[in-house]
Amino acid sequence: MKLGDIPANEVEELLATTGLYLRTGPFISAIKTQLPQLVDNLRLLYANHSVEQCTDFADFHIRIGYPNGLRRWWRPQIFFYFDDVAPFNPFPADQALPLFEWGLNWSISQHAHKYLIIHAAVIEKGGFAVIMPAPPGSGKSTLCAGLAQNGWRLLSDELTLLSMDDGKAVPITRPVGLKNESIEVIRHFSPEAILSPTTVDTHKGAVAMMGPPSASVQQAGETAIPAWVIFPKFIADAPAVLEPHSKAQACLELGENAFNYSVHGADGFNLLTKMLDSCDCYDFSYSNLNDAVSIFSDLQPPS
Amino acid sequence: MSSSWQWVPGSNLKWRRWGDEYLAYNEASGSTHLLNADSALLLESLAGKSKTIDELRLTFPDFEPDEITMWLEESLKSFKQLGLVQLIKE
Repeated sequence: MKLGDIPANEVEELLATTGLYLRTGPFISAIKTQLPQLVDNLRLLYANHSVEQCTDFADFHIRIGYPNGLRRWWRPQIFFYFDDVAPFNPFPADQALPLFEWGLNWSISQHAHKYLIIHAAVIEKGGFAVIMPAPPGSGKSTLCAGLAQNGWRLLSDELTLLSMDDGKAVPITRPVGLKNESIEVIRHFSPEAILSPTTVDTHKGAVAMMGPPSASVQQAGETAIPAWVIFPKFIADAPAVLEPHSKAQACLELGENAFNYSVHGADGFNLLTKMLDSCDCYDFSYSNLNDAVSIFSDLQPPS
Repeated sequence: MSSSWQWVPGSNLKWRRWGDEYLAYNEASGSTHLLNADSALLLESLAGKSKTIDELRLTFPDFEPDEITMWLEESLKSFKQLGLVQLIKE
């Protein structure tokens, strides 16, 4: 059953009591919260995601809520709880949605060692995936959001999961995090996109989440073969240009951007190098999303 | 007293090459290193054995002795800092 098919009062009750068992790709998160704003945003952004009826198992047990004591009422703060332990400092109470999303990212990156987990966006078309590693501020998420609304399937804007068994990219298909100017860029570029209200004054500035396209969520069980590793960089007024990037350098950068490269040791090295044997690697500079969509639409899988 | 160079004991390097670029993954440290062809040849020539500078010079016969000696010393110093090789005084 999809979250969007469940009446609002029942969703509220599940979140307040036994937990909402929400599936995102291969993971089931048991989520609890009584924060009205977060309840509404979850219903908005995860409307097409499945809610598990069986509550015997969850990969992650997550709760977003107030602490005991004065900060519940005075300049209220909230914590992200993982297995009833708060791994981070509290956030202001009006930042519940970004706290939830970043907390779930942390949960996956710290625990899901069945995969090699890379800080990178990943999209797919025709069964082949583009992996886009990039530091914050490079325009990765904006590009990912634009492409996901124009013919590419969204697997993730933040965490690329590579199966240690077969090297394929595994979808998580969650909301795309947009920051500052990129919020209005996507709002104008894709008026049909579902955007959460903007949260201001986070440590990343103003933040809003774009709901994943329903088609991407429906295909969340389908893996993809990595075919391109593209390092994006937004440069104001720059033409959209793809330039070859060294495979060896790409391997180093993917390893550096992998949360659990050291966990997997030589197996991680072997997975990345085998993947890169079959990938084309590029640097991509752009300033205009329409140009970017055009360039990406011309990508051909390596023979 | 002569000196020779060898891999740090316990090192096991996995290699991958694309064109003139080589990656060496050190299983002992978990580090990955990007090398050009000459550096890779130097490092690989120490696999399972220790060699003096004079012996390593023979691995690069096309270079002038003074030129190659300086390069060998600098390269081995870098490898030592990366935990790949060690100097043994005999």
